[in-house]
Amino acid sequence: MDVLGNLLDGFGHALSLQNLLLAMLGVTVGTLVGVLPGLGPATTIALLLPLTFVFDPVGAFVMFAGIYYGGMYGGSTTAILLNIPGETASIPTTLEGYPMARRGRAGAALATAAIGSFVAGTISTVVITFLAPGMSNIAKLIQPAEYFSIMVLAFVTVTSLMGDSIVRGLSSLFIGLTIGMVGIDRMTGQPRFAFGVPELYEGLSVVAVAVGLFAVAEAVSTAAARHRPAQPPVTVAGRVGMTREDWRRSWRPWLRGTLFGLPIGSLPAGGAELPTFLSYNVEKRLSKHKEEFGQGAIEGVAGPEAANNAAFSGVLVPLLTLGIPTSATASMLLIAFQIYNVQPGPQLFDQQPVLVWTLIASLYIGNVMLLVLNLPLIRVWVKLLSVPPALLTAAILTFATLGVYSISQSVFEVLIAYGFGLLGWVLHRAGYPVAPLILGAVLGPLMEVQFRRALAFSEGDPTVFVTRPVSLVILLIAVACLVGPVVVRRRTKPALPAG
Amino acid sequence: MKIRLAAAVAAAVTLTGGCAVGESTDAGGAYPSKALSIMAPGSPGGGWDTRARGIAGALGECKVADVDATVTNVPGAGGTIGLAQFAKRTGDPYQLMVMDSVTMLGGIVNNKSPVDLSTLTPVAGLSRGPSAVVVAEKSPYEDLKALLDAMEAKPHSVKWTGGSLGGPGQMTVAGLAKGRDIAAKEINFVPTAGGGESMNLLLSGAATVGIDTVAELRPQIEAGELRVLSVDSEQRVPGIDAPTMKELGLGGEAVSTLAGVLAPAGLSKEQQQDVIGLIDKVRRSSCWKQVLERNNWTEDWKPGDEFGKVLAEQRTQVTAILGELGLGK
Repeated sequence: MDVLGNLLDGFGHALSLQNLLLAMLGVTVGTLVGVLPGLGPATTIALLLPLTFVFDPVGAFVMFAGIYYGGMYGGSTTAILLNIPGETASIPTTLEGYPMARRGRAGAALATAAIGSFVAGTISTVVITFLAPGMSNIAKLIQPAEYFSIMVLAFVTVTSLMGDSIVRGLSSLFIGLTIGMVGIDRMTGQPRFAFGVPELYEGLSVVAVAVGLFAVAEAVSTAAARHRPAQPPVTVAGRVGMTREDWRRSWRPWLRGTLFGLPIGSLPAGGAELPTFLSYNVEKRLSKHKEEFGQGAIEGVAGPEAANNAAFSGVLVPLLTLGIPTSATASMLLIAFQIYNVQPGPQLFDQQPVLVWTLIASLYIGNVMLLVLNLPLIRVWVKLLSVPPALLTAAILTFATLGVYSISQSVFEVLIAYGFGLLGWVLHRAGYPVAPLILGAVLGPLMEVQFRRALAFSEGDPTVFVTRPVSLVILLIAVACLVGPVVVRRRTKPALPAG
Repeated sequence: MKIRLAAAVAAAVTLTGGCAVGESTDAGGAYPSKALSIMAPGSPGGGWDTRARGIAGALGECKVADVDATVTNVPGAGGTIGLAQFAKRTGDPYQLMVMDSVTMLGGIVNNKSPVDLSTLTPVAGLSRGPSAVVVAEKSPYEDLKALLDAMEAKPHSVKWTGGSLGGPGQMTVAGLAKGRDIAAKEINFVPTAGGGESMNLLLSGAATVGIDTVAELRPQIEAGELRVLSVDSEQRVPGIDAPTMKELGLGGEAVSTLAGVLAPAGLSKEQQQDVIGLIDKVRRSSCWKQVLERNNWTEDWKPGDEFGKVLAEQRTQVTAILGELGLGK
């Protein structure tokens, strides 16, 4: 078992005073850029790449690992406090995190996000430590048919997001699916719903849509309600951090989130969107407090945040073992590797053991630093909410506009965000849930592309989804999720009319 | 996304007094006398971005010029969003854009861009990134001929994967198919966002064969996971034991992409020469040589109108191939 020896060696290299300071710096910078609109972790690493000429590889990677984790966590802060998801994977956090903040429970939401990220990050890093080389073999088993089946499972669990009315829920879902279709079809080059507008050829940016539906719609809603009695500023209810009850309700979602995030994130076409949405849906299904979902249920923050962090750790598996970057941040890390003339790939663990194990050790350090930095910061963030609602709304609108503009440098996308802000407000007033809309917009295009790829590879034979064992098993689970609750309900409550 | 990155080192050089820097340009005074702006019409981390930052880095670190260079990213619609912005900067020799021929020409056709490259001032073709045709290690195909035979017999059964729709990879495949009289529409090509996705399709056995740049494929090739059937380059690629398409008598059908730099329309001959001179110095610098090596690129220097000629020729080829594939309509 020389893994432990190698890891200790890695810690030996990473735990110098200089490297610890660099890790602290990385986490701080990462958290800041995550919180401030516009600069994502990928951009930050791009800006800091010239530092690789100054530091040794170890120092630079320790710092980049800090930025990587810090940026991810900082993104959840704006989602919870300001209703602004900085990236697609933070959208589920917004769904429950912001309502929690409105109820004066921002501290608990931030804490469960931070601790959940730490737990998921640590578990994932441990798994990567021991299994990374083997995990790259997953890539050899998963074909488009399996990806499609996983998507089906995610869509089946969406029924839990429907709210009171199935019709309204489905309408919202189909609006989302339509939004996902906008742009040039990547299989045939056919423009869909683009109306000859070049800006629409790449599709609608999900981040702009989500910022519109959440943050801008919230501002519109506040403005529309100005003749009603002013809401009092949010006061912190009870203690700032997590209560015993919060802990009890958070630990299972953390573990389940990790379980979704790590394997899916490790897939070369996995990403963080699918596991975070899947985790949110599953937590809502399993929760004993279903009525709280939409009003700020802590499980809905704990699960997706853990899934997000685990998926981001999982991204390192294809990066290190296959040389494949599956996110923008990962591709910046790949460039950093190449600057040091290191080519990640199947032979990396043999050729560059010191660098790899130091990077893995620095992931552990980055995770701890993140917790150390962010738990005390929660008190500061929570204070932010005590400003009067009108001012907070203005701040949300400003940050949302800045955020969308600086990500895209395009006024067009700001207009999209505003347009969806109005749409979101109308939907909200009319009692339509927005969560299915976002899920359709995010997962719809992914599912479509995998479906069509699977058919292209099977030469048009649709049985490919049931003849491949892994795909079949996932589809059966999906069927069980769809039919199971109905059957169980009929058995246990035979007196109630079926429906 | 669009980032302004004043190359930190370049800034430092300027601050510490730029007198000891570079050789003077012989053509008409002091070009460049102010900061340059280099546009990469793609996202950070992509091929165009790497090239733009490579040029900016060489200007600063290797002291090719004592001015700053800023890289801006304007991704979207196959590079044509950036192109449309760039085309408006008429007559300014301090604005440069990196691109590569086939990818950008394809982007123009696929996105029905109203702006094309013919009005812009060609500065230079710089490099090529060889691509390779690969199969999984367990694949029954040992050489490209056998694969093309199978494709001729039953086109749909050979499932290709590679980069974007209508990109250089798909065009090379279309060229290979044409050589065997296989109709372009019969080709079973599954486009991906590149890298990870197409690698997954290959390693999992979903795709029969893949085409991608050697830089992306090299780690898997060296690990023995992928077998190279052929490379699309002038000479054999060091460290890769496979014949070039030319050796197999297939070179004529491949449209190989040439990476280069463009300047806006409306530059005088002297201004064009100034810019060419500057980029010539960049490509001779040790910084640029490192960029080439790191990315598995090979130099292919085609200054000024030579580059323009390549673009004009490839424009016809690309439009024809994409038309056969049913794209750009």
